[in-house]
Amino acid sequence: MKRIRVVVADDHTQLRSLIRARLEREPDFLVVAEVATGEQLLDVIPRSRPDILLIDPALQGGEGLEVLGAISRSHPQVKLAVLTAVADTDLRMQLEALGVHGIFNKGIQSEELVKALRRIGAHGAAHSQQPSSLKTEENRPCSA
Amino acid sequence: MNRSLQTDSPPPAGGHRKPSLNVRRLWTLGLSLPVLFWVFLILARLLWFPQAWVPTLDLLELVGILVGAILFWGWAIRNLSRQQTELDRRSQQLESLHAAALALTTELDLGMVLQKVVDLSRDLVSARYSALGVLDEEGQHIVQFYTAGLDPEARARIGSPPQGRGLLGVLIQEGQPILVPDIQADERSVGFPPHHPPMRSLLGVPIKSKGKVIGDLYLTDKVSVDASGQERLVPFTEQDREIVEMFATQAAIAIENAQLYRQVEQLAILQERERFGMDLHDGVIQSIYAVGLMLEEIQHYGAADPDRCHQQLERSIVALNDVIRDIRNYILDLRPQRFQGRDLHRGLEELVRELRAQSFLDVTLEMDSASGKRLTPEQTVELLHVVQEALTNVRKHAQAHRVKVHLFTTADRLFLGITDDGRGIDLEQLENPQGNGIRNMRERISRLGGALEIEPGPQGGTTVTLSVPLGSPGQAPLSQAESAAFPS
Repeated sequence: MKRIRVVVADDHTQLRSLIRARLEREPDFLVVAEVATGEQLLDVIPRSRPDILLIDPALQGGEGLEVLGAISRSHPQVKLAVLTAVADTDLRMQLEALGVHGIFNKGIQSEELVKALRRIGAHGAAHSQQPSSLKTEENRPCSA
Repeated sequence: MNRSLQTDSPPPAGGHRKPSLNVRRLWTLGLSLPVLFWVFLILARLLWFPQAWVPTLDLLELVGILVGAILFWGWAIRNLSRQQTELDRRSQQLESLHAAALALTTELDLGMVLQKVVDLSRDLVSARYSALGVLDEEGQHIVQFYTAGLDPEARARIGSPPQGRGLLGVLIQEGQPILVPDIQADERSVGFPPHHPPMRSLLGVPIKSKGKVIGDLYLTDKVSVDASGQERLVPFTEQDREIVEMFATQAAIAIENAQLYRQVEQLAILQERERFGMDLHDGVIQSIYAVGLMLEEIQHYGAADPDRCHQQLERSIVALNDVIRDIRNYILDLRPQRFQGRDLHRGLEELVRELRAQSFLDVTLEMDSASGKRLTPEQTVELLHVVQEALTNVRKHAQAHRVKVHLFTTADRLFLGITDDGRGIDLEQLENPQGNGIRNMRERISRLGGALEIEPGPQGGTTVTLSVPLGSPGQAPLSQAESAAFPS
């Protein structure tokens, strides 16, 4: 089975491992790399050939946004999914302008995140899902 | 730059010469010309009409001419002198205005600008008293009142500042300058409060900025010193009004400048606060999200992996307590702990940055590249707490100039050294630490299974050395893929 290759980029070490661990519990996902800085990201993308980049744009004080722009230009085949603590209108507009395929709030139910990433990985959600509608995907954090 | 600006004394004009009216020359010219003309007429008549010469008539003519000339020149010279005096005074006033405007530009502090405005305006028009009422946003009420000419005791005796009724209020309401020769005689006046010195003449001028009146300048009791040195009260003139209006424009600019400066300062503080706020919210959200994911893991593994669940439960509790602490610190207006989720290098960089910002210490940081990666998140957090404590001690107690933070690893151990060149630590204090600081440090380090040493430095000062054992490279929290991608 062809698995969806994901790179996780977040400078919060503990959180990054947890996200990675969660994704790796899905048989159809493969986390090929996790990085903490924009520089590492630019290094890793060409080498690991991911399908999806799951990134927090707040990387190191905001350089995540710049790097996102660079990657969307240099590797347009990589689908961009944003997982962020807080996204105000400005940030959303900037992300949509960059053409990200999904914007998710931290606190989203992991099931929903996985499903959405699956959709993005399958056929790039740029058409099937407008990022602004994904505002509804923020839910209560994991409950029993 | 406090030149005494007295409009009655000639200004020490730097370089340029005052054009002066030479009255004696004018008189000489004025009288000699008609006389010469008369002589010429006599000579001419003698030449062409010798028989028509009547000496008495000619003398009468001479007298007539002289009287006419004297009258005319007297009037002309008096006029010219008067205009010259006026020009001189004007030029002096403009010089004073210029000096006052320059003096204002040296101030950036808003309060001092306002005080300078009242001080300088008094000298400009020789007023005994001056005052500035700063208006509120709506431009209706006086919120601050600066004065000059009253000594502090007199000011204290009067008590509370005016509310802006009476003549003061006229200026506020109408926003136009007012000139009142006798305050008490004016029907709009509401009189003076008790202990207020009597004042006779008033000149009031609004201070306008961007079309809005931000304050009012009041000058009272213009004084004129006559030749014998006697002071007497005179009314303000139209020229005074003009001068003060021009000065009010300068004052408005200076006030605006000071206000902008203050706003820039406050904005910097707010931005800093906002950054902290953002950090808090970001960090808190990250932490709680992480706890959620940990609980998910427990849910997933359940009874099948009780050890893992147990570990994650512990971590969740710790993370939640840290969040509580962050929020509490935020409420108490303290900087939140930002060590959660940071790796060692970033954490140390932040601590060093903070220390530089909070002190005049010369701080250097040396790190070898691999060290942070082999620590678990918990070890990293504990280490950073200890380093923070150590740096705080240096900042507060060491009286040092330089601090060096040095991070390096050997095969199985990580070392962190904090060295300062301060006054050194009291060994006795070490044995029986009074404060909690050193004890906390030791507790944290022992929790990590590490060691803490505090020794005098090579040239005075103190060196604190932390060391913790490192797991073998295979136990690193990084994935194999990442280790392959980043040869360390």
